[in-house]
Amino acid sequence: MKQDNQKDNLLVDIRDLNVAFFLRQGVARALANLNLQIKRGETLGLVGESGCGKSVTSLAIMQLIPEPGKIMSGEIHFNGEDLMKKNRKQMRKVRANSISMIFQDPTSALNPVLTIGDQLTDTMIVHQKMGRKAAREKAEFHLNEVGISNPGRQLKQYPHELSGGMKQRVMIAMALSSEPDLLIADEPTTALDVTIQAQILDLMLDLQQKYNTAILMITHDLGVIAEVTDRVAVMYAGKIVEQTDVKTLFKEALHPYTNGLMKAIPSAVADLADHEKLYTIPGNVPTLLELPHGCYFQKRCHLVSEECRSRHPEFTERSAGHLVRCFHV
Amino acid sequence: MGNFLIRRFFNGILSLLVVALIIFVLLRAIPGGPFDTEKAVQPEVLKNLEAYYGLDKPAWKQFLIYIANAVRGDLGVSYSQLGYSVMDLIKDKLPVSVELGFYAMLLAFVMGIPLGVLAAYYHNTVIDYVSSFLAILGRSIPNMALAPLLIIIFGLTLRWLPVARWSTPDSKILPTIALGLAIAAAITRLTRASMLQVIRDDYIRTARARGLSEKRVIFKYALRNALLPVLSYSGPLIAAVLTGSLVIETIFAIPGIGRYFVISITNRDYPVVMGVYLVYGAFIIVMNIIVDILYAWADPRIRLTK
Repeated sequence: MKQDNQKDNLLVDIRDLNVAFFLRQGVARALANLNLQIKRGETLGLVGESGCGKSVTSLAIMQLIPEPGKIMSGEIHFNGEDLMKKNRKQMRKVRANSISMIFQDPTSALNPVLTIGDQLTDTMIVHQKMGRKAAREKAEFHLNEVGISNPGRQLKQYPHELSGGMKQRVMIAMALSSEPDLLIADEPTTALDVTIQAQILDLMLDLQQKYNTAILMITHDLGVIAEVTDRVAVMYAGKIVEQTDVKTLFKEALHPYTNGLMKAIPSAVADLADHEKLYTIPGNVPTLLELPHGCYFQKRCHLVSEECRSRHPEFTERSAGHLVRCFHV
Repeated sequence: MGNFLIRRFFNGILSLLVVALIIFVLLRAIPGGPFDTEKAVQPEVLKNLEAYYGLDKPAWKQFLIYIANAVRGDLGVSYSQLGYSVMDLIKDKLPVSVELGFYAMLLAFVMGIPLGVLAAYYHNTVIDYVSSFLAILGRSIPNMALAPLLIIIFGLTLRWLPVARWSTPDSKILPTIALGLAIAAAITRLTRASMLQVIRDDYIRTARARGLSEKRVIFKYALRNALLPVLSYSGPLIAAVLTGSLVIETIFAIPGIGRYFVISITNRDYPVVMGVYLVYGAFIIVMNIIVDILYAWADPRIRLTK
């Protein structure tokens, strides 16, 4: 009985997902046997360096991996249905009604030649079969909801007439207008001013409460992770290396990569007098074209051993829900 | 908008004046004159002719007289065709060239834009390769080769269409193709390149992520952005095509104005040279104004400033 409950509670269940990009230089394995679960209404943070596969994961859920990328194998269950088995039309329905996405740079994410209103109401008219007037009213309602005053006027404006923060609010209004089960936010605050960042995050959390939307928060900013997420998955070179709830992550991160990330956060209380340089993890991310045999983090790890070079560590559960992919911690 | 038009109108007039001055100076700088023939003309006759056409006056005076007459709609008379005024020549020949040019541009847009969109959408597939191959082919075959080829195939061998002249509707098909195909190819390539760039833009990903159909994504979200470069390219192109083509008009025996761009110069027929090139200049100016207005309409980020 308990198990059934858990199963119902599961919104997204990604199993053994493999995504590869077929480039001229070779095949880049962007995601290797990725497993990831998102529960209804929770906020899952996905954190890692640029190019580690965070965005690819989100685009895989949307079934929008760009050329020359391809999902090689795996299952992506959403609301109990495997998205991999859906045809184009069914997938469009899912995108329009159940999964929404907001992107890093709201300036490039909005079409410069169409009005806000035009872009906001398009899905409503196409998928929810709403009339133009009803769609406009709904759009006004949602713009109001994301804190845009005078929404009637904003609907007639073009993206370039709005500030960056306003545009991201519009994106959020657009994303939530279908009252989705899942909101994928791909670095939603990276392109914004620091003062605006907090407002946007607060707004997202407010609306999450209201619509009981699960959020997949993709970021490389551990500050954002600390502020808004319930659980966190740390990605490295196409694999999740550590996964736990946010409190445990900041208190007792286990994986050497996660620890490296934590140490690399600039601290306001650090003694400025000793001119200590900000910590950086030595070395570089391995190229996805030639991943090393064994653990992908071996070349940058201070705990590296023979074992790490010979085989890839599997997940082990250290405490309830705290998964780590490392032999030595 | 009103301000914009007024400003551009006066700018255009000024440009035309400068164009007229440059042509005037260049014409007199090149060797030879309008009455040079293989047999030397008697000096007295030459003197009389020059006096008759006002060529004995100082150059600056000739220019001022020309401009003063032009403002009143008198562009002078042809030196080589007696009694034929330049205004009459333009009235007779220009409409034919404009008609041919219009059909050719229509063909170019109707063919080029869909082919370009298809090639970009099916990037790196057979459709793209075929369309790109056709575009390169169309761009590479000069119309002086294409026109006779069309005449041989459709005129002489298959006997479907007339081989020359500009009269019945079916006689207009071959010249239109011969003139329009290369332009269609250019527009195909431009549309494809522009579309390829646009469909990688973030807002296209946004539109797809919102569950919109590919058709809607392409036609509503991508095409308008992709056609902006095509639009700016089209302005001067349309001006050039509407004012006729020497090759096509000669091969098909079409009484257009295109050939006068060349023969008036070899004849040193000063008033005709001035006339046809000023018409061309005026077309370019007008087309650019139209393109700027259309651009501002298509791209809300552009505003027509005063």
